[in-house]
Amino acid sequence: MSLSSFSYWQALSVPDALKILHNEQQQVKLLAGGTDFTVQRKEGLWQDKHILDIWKTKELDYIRESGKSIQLGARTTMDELIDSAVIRKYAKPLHLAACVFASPQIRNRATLGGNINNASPAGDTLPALFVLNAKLKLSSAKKDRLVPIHEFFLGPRKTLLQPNEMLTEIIIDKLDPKYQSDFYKLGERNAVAIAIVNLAVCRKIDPRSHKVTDIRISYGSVAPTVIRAPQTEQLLLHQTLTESLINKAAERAQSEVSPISDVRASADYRKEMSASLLKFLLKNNRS
Amino acid sequence: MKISITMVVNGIIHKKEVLPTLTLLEFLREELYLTGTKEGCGKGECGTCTVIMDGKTVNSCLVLAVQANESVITTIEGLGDTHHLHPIQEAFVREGGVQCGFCTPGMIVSVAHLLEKSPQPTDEEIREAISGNICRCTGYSKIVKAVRKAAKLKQSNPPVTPGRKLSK
Ligand SMILES: Cc1cc2nc3c(=O)[nH]c(=O)nc-3n(C[C@H](O)[C@H](O)[C@H](O)COP(=O)(O)OP(=O)(O)OC[C@H]3O[C@@H](n4cnc5c(N)ncnc54)[C@H](O)[C@@H]3O)c2cc1C
Ligand code: FES
Ligand code: FES
Repeated sequence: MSLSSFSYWQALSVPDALKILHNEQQQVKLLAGGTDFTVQRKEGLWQDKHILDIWKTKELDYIRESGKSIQLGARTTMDELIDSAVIRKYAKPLHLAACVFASPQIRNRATLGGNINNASPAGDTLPALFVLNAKLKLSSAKKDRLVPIHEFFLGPRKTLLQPNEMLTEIIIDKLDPKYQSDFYKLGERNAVAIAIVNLAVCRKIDPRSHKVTDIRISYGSVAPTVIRAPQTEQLLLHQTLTESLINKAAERAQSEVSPISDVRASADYRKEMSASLLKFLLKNNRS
Repeated sequence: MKISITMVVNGIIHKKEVLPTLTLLEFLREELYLTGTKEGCGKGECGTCTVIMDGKTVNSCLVLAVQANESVITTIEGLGDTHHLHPIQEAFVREGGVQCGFCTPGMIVSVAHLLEKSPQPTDEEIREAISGNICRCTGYSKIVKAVRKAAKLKQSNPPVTPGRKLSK
C-alpha cells in the first residue's frame, strides 16, 4: 500500500472505533499513546496498516470503583494510575508498577491497554494485573467477551485478541488495604529500562497467628508470557514466613520460571534473580 | 492522504495539512522551523525532543502530528529567547548546566514543567523530573544545582512572556 492511500481515523467514541474495526479488520492498527507503535513503525513494522487512533476516545479514559472491583478504561495512562487515590489504596501493585515505568514523558502517553496489547513478557503492569486477577473486556461490533488475563497471552506479542476486537476495559479485584503489596523491577538502570526480571507479590498475614492467609506471586520477563507461580504460592499458603520457608519458596520459584538469554541478561542470571528478588520481598515484612 | 490539523504552538495558532505518519517532532522542526527541539534517539529514550502538550511533557518523536491536532504546545522557543532568557535558562548558564547543549532544550522543558507543578522542588523531585532526559556531558549534578537556582530565580523574578503560557 502506498503512503498516499494510507488512512488515519480518529475514533471519538467506542461504537465509532468498533465500526471501523468491523469494516476494515486486517487493514487496521490500533493506536493509543503510540509509545510502542511509533517506535515499531520506525523500525519497519505496520507499514501496510491504516491507523485507528483511540487516544481521544475519552469514553475509554476512566478509573471506577464499584463493590469488590475496579474498572479501568483501556486508554488510562500510567500517569493517571499514579495519581489515582483508588489505585493507591485498593490496587497497590499497579500503583507501584506505574511508578517505575519508563520516564515522566512516556508515562504521560503510555496506556494500560497499550501495555497489555503490546504483549511483551516484560510489560511492567502485567505482573501487577496478574496478582489483581484482572479480567479483560474485549469488544467487537457484535459482542463483548471477558477473558481472564492469564488466558489472554499466547506468547511474546501473541494474544487472543481478534482483528475485529479491541480491549475496552480492565476489571481488577479490589485488594483489601491490609494486604502487603510489593513490586520490584530489575533493570539495567532505574529510568527508561526494560525489565530483566519484574515481580509483583501481594500477601495477607493473619495478625494473630502470623500465618499467610493469601499470597499471589507473578513474574515478568522470565517466561514466554508473564506468569503466576502457583506452586510457590501453595508452598507459602497457611504457613509462617520463616527464613527457611522463604529459602524453600525461592528455590521452588526458580523451578517455575523458564527464562531465555537475550541482550539484557542470561537465562541463568534471570533464574538466580527470580529467587533472590522473591527472598528480598518476602523478608521485607511490614506487618 | 493529507490531514488538516490546527495547533497552538508557543501561543501562535498554526493550521497545516500533514501526512498521518509525520511525527510532532518533524512537524515542529520541518513545518514550523522550530529547530530548538532536537532529535536524539527518535525512540523515546533520550528526551531531547521533550515538549509540553496540553499541560504534560511528551516525547515529540513518539507523538504523531495528527495526534496533536487541537493541542496547546510549548517548545523551548516558547520559554525565552537570546535576548530574554527564561530564569531556567539563566540558571543553566550561571551554574554550568550546559556543555554541548544537545540535551538542554528537552531538559529545560522538563524543568519548566516541574517548576509549574512544584515551584520549590526537592532534589529527589528534580532527579525524577529529568529522569527521562539523558545528558552525556554534565554528569547531572550541575543540572540539579541549576534547577535549584532556577527555582530561586523564578520566585524572585517570575517570567513575563505574554502569550507564552506553559499549559492549557
Ligand atoms: C523509551 C521507552 C520506554 C519504555 N519503558 C517501558 C517500561 O518501563 N515498562 C513497560 O512495560 N513498557 C515500557 N515501554 C513500552 C510502552 O511504553 C508501553 O508498552 C505502553 O504501555 C504502550 O502504551 P501506548 O498507549 O503507548 O500503546 P501504543 O503504542 O499506542 O500501542 C501498543 C500496542 O497495543 C495496541 N493497542 C493499544 N490500545 C489498544 C486497545 N485498547 N485494544 C487493543 N489493542 C490496543 C496497539 O495496536 C499496539 O499494538 C517503553 C517504551 C519506550 C519507547
Ligand atoms: S528523540 Fe525523542 S526521546 Fe530521543
Ligand atoms: S550538555 Fe551535552 S548532553 Fe547534556
